[in-house]
Amino acid sequence: MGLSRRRFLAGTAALAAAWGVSREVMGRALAAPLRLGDAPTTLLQTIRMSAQPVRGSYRTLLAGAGEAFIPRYDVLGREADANRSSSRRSLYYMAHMSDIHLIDAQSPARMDAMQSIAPTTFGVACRPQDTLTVHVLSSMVDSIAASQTSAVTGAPLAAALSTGDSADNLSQLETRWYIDILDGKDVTANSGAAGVYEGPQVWAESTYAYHPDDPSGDAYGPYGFPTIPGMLEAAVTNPVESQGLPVPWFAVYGNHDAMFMGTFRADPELYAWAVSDRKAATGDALAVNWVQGFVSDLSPAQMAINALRQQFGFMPGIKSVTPDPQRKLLERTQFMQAHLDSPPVPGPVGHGWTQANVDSGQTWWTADLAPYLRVFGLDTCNLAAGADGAVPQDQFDWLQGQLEQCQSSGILAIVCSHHNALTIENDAKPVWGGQPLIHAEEFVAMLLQYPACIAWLNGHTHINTITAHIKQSGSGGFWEITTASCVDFPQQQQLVEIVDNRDGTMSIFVTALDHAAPPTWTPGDFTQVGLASLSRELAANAFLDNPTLLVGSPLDRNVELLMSAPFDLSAITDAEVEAQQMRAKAQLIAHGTSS
Amino acid sequence: MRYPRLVAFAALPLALGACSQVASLAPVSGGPITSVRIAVYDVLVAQEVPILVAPQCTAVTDGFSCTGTTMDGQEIVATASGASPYALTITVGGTTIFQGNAKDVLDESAKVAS
Repeated sequence: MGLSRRRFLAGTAALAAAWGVSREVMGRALAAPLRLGDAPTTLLQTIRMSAQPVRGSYRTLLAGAGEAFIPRYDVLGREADANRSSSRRSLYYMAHMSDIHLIDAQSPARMDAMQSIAPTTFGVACRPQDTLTVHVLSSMVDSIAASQTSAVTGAPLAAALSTGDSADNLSQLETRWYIDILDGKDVTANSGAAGVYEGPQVWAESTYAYHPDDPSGDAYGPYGFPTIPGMLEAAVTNPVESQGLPVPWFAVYGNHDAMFMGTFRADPELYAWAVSDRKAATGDALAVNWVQGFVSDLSPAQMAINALRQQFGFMPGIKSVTPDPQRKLLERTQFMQAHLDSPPVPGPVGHGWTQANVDSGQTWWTADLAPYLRVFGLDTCNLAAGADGAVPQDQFDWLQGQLEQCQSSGILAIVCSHHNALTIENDAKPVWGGQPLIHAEEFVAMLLQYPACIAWLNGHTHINTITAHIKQSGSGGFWEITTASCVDFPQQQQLVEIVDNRDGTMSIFVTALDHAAPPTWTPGDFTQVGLASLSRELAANAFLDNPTLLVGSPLDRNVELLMSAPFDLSAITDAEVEAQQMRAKAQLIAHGTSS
Repeated sequence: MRYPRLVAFAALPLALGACSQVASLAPVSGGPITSVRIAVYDVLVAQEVPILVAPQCTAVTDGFSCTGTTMDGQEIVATASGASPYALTITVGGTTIFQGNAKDVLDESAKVAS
């Protein structure tokens, strides 16, 4: 049974007041029937590499055919009723973001030159598109805002979940930029000197980096990367406008939000380097100076010699840059605190974390997206060392207790973490001890005990990946949903919708979402959208990064993921669902009238 | 110049908070097995194989092995070598439907139809 007229009118009045929209406007919008969304998602158009290179091995990007949903039956264990679409209802529609990797490309703390020391291991230490990540994120916000109505059911977008690596290098500035773009503030993607790019992409000796002004002397020129004079200046000069996400958004820690380069513990020397006026331009300089400084075991005599060499310009490969105190690296809880420094709209303040998290240092959280849907935000970063992660025993125990409650209370559960089942394998422990670390096999086995846990959303690998976790009995289980990143090709995120088929099964619809910039970059287009388009094209050609792998397969992109309902879903009343959708529509209406 | 550079870089893990396992400094894992898995899926979808359980891949001694099931209960088996470009063979119900390199499959799938 749906909402009564009386409850609808009362709800309309309350929502109009809460969002500062006239009752008439709100009432008319809320009363409108659900209509299927027609946003230009990958259901309608994909973005593909050109069949032939345009220069050397370099390819441009073109619009390709859309991809329809492919049903996946792995967890259901049988074919589904072909008529299920006639009776289904949406329970919740949201966006899934991950691996935004907002980059302050000029920070001295970036170890860009690592790419020349170990190109296969650190092939993304200095991407060609590093200066354009703010532009891409704003374009992704546009795309999510345009997808505010489900193409499956017409349900309104209600929330966004971001599964970590929001910043790239533990940076206060990167963290602030990402929060501000998602919250709807404008950002100029620059630090140090105003309107000037200072970094390896203009330094001749940094041959490992792409030099858009003249790539003939670097590794990218022979590949066919274009000459784009003015790109860097445009990237760091023009403010990037953001309309902000139209829905509340939540975030978890990724390894790049918690560790230096997403891999190393940050020691005091690194904190000093981040706000210094020196930056390594070459691998030799990085190794001899930075790493030796990092080890901190130089004799006083050697340190004095180094100081003199630097003063008189005898340290090749170390460049002077304009220092910027905003580039400081964040301490552990400061990342959470930055999320609390956030406006109530789109909210929630803290984006999952609360003041209690900051006070206690507990980095994981839970939130009720609806009375019948609970999300758990884990912190799977291994602070000892390494990019990959693990689940500490205390979080494991906490989550298990929470899932037991969900199971007994008839609440659907979604787990969010940065790391996925392939990468929860990091067993590094500080030698001084630490609690036991749970790895993927045990973690998945625990989740499988609770049918209420329907999905695990994550990222980390930057590859669109959908994994079925099936009980040993052959049916039942949950779906693991891993999204690609904003920084590497294909620069896609996801739309996720939970649907009750009203036949004892449910479906999770996943749609790969390109950002809103055009597939093909028009040479010379340095507008905000143009630079986002260029970023995608450069990423598609970033040959150290294996871009064709990151796209995933058709079974990892637009899919309908079927499963048995974990309990009688009729216990979730239509009135509850309609009330949730009214709140979501009200958010969208308020966003539309303010943006 | 290569020697001192390597020495200095090798010293890095020693300074990193007394890690117990230097191997954990490896970058994001899972690339090779994922390459094989995606290529297998690309082929199965392109050849319109009706899938009940999409193949799950595991590392074996000489590469990767993937098994799944079609809607009519036939076994899907894929084997691949352990290094790029990952020589790949896929059979459905014992019939070979693909032989080639996984890397080539990925590269072709990302391109617009010519």
